Amino acid sequence: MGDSAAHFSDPQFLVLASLADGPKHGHAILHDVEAISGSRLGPGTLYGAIGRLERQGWIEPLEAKDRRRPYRLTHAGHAALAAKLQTLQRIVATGTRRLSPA
Amino acid sequence: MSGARLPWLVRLYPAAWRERYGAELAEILEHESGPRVAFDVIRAAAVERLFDHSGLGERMMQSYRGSVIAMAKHPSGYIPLFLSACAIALLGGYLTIYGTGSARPGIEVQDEGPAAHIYQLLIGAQILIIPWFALRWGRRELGPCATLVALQVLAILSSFGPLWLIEH
Repeated sequence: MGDSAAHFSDPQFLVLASLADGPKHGHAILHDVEAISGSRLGPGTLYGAIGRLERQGWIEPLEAKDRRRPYRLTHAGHAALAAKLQTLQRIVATGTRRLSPA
Repeated sequence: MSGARLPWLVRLYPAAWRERYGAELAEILEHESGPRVAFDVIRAAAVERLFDHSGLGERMMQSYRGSVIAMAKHPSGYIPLFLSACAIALLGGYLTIYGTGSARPGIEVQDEGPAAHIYQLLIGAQILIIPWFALRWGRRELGPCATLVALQVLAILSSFGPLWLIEH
């Protein structure tokens, strides 16, 4: 795929996927990522990903409540996530087909 | 969660980053502990300091790369690289025409021949130019100068490969 928007690291992808169903703050993202992927992001990794995604304009902060600031996907973030998911779906389909007995 | 609380690790981040995300991260670290979490935050803070938030690391790399390129444009920067390229081309041509040493068993070479003399001149000239370049530019910008000298030396060493093929 030539779309560079679909190229980002796993933590960034996991954060985008977590925010796909609505805004979440850091704690909620950590728990959600653990639930959907089975692995727990470290807090440093999480905020590294959040910082990069925010600078890329793929997520945006909402008003903080008690030091917990929620983030939500932007339109660009939604498009980037959709592009990445399409790529992964193609890979999954191809890999599954190749693994299945002829 | 039990164990040491880690909000103090937020201080490892650059000030601008702490101002933006510090309170949020500290709040999470009040509920997290353990060496794995500490290592993760220390690693992320180091990355942030080097490359991400301030852009300082990136700017430093750009500036460093720019200095290396600027130095390489000086005659004493590019001539050794050019001479090494000529030496490699010369040996490559020799190998193409005469083959490797093992392809000429039993042939005793009395004189090294013009190709060998040209090769020696090409390498000898560099042995004079490179120290002069290092002395002149190393005092101004040591890092980029050392990088370019390393490239120059690497170029000389890479010409030893074809030479070894010719002699063995």
